[in-house]
Amino acid sequence: MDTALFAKEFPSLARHLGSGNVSLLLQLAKIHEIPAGHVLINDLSPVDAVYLILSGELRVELRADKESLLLGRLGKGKWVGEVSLFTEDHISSASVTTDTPTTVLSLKHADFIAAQSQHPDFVGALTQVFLDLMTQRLRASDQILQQVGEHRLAFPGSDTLLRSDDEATRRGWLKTMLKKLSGVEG
Amino acid sequence: MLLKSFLKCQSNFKHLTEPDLDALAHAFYVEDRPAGYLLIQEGKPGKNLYILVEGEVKVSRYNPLTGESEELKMIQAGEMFGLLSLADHQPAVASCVAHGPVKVGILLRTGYNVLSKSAAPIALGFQLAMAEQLASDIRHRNNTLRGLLR
Repeated sequence: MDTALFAKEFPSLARHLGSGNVSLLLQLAKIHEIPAGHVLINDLSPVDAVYLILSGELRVELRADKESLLLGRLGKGKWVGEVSLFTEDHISSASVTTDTPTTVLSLKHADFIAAQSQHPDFVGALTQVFLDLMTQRLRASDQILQQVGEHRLAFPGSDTLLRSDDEATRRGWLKTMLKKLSGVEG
Repeated sequence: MLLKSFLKCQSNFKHLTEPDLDALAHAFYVEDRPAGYLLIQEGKPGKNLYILVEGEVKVSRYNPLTGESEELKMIQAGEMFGLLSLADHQPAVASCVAHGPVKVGILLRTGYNVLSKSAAPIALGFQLAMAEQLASDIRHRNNTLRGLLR
């Protein structure tokens, strides 16, 4: 991919980065084609790159024991892997799996870190992208908790379940509510 | 204690040079607050970015189901808070109250706006520190959600 095609496909990002930084991103990053059903990032596992989705669709999930919570689906123009980029241990905070055949642009964490001294303008421009993205993600994640707390979703029988003295019943309701919120269950 | 010395010991600010740490320390002012002091009020627009220098700050949110305030986390020295509301100009999602006497570094919104949008080297170090704090907050939040699943 060249800078002109990148600017055509991702005009907003290209404008923000500027042509010099887009060119550097394309030099440092590599394109990968990934089949559907591939786990790109494993929840709570080390991650060594941040990915820009060029095409395809991926789902972001949290996993605990045998349960999972869908946080959202991401497509063309979205980034994944940025949270672990900014943590000391580079451990992921969610899993990311391809739902369709997917193409990503992969920028190694090590290259991003090395660029901090060599290309601060590039790192600054990308960091602002990631700051905006993480702000949106934190707010979205917070809304899930808020919705659970405020019981905004219509769910027949939930008032009775909430008043139940039985802890297992209440927790069962909460799990069902979380899944409903996440879209894992229809 | 000089704020610069404190910032220098925090991993979030490892990207900043000595002169940049000096400048950043001067952009903050440090205040002592008594136990129970309301630093951030849930539902209100954020005015400042805080870094906790000493003590603990309780983060809590009103739960309309129980009618009570529920503790979400306890902020420890070195952590920044108030960032989300400053960054997206939406109301604070939780209240932050001094849990015992605290010392906080306070950066006004105007200072935050300059540092978060500038291309100067000090701004890059500041932005990386903000990114590390947001990543830490997301990880904490996801762990909370993960705990609800169990």
